[in-house]
Amino acid sequence: MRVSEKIIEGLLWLSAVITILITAGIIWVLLSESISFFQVVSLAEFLTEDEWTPLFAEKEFGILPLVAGTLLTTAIAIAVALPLGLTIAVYLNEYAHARMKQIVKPMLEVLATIPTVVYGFFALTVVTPFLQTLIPSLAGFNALSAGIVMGIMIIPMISSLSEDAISSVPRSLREAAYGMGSTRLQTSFGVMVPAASSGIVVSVILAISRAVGETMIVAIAAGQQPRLTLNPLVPIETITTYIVQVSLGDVPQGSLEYKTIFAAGITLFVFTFALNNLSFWIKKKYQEKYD
Amino acid sequence: MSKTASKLEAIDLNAYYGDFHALKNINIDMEEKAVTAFIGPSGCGKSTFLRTFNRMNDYIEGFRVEGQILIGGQDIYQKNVRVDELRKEVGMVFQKPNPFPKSIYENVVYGLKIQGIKKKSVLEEAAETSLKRAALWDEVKDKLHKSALALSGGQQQRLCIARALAISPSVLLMDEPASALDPISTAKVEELIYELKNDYTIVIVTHNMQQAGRVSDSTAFFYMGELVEYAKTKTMFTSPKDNRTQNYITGRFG
Repeated sequence: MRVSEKIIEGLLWLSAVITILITAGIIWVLLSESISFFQVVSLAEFLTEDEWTPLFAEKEFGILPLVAGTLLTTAIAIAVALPLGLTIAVYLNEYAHARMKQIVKPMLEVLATIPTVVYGFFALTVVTPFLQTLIPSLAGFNALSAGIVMGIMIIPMISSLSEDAISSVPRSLREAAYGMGSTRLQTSFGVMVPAASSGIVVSVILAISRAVGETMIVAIAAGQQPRLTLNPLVPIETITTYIVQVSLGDVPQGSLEYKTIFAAGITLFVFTFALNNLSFWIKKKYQEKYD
Repeated sequence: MSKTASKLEAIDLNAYYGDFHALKNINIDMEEKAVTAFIGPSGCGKSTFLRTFNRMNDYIEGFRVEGQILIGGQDIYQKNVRVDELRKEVGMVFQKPNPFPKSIYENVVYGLKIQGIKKKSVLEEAAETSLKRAALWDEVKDKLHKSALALSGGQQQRLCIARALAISPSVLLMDEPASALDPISTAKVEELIYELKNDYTIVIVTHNMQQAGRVSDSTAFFYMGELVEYAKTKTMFTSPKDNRTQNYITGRFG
């Protein structure tokens, strides 16, 4: 083999290896820092205690309030994004003319490129005041408006991936449905969507994973009060927000308070890692085989 | 549309895909409760013509028709015709078996369910009757709730026929229904067509001359978008009038 070929091969290998090393490095830092955290705070306490007050005089280290905050905002986001995203996917696939599709799809994807900090201020300064006119008891910082705006952000993720999944369903199935006297609605929701369900589920899981890890919107609009509640009207705190709060604060490096961000970080990592693997597994296992 | 009015006619029918003139001035009057075969070389327009009878071409951008398609005397391209209603009268079986990725039972009752029929006894009876009519019942009666995709190609095609029969159409369009099947399955499907013609008006597109000869009462030969010849199958196969028909059925081109 020529020398230049070898060099190129080596460079390609290196770039692949570097990404693996970086991932491994991140996991190692998370693990090593959180291990020393768990030497002080037991895992049982971490998982069952219902208060999270590492920065207070009386310290409690229960991750549950942060997990609850994360799940709450994520659930609201999915409740917004799934019906809208799926409807858009069906519309683009079944109803829209080719030209309409060419215009709408890229425009939707613009939604995904807006910086999340902009979304955050949109939630805080537009959505929350608007919602307050409908729900007067709504707090200035709350899970509801952060969740809704996060949902808007992940619509293109669901609509785009679901649309791909639906359009990969063979035309013969659509013809079968129409041939039986199905209306467009019956064809799309009764045949096409179920046949594309594995792809749609994957899109939802990836969207959940994105929502779980989302930081700026919730940091700006949802508040910074760890609270074990499923009430969307009051301020809460998500795992990501907590990490931001501590990282930006004046907590001394190496202290137990400092190590809490790694414990929170590894919790977050476990969530998103599990979700991504789940989507990968579903994709592999349930993908309909068509020829 | 009443059940008995299943006579198919085309009057001065022209069809276009964009600029392409796919069907040229077709006039035909088909027999009720009989099998009509459409033959002709690939691209001659026979499938396009078949699909005008249930307006399956509606979804192709740039497709348009001029003239009339009459089913039981009614022009189905009129604005007030609902295509979903039309297709409950005009069932279709496609070239490649296309069962839904659902159970065998769900496939057969699909058409009834979308019409809002929910009663289990009605659905079950319809499933059994249709599967028996499609000569598939004995092979699947013990696995009705298994996936339809696990059936063989021939069984899948008979399932698609059962699915079409379940909504009791009066017309059955078949677009090369046996071209993707092995000889034994083909024989079964042909036998089925022969039996079904007592109750249905059947139109079958086929590439297979022998098949047209075996199953059809009348045959229409299409060439380059024109209906060249239409006659009783026996007459056409023994004494074709047009040279092009003669050449095609004797295998000189196609």
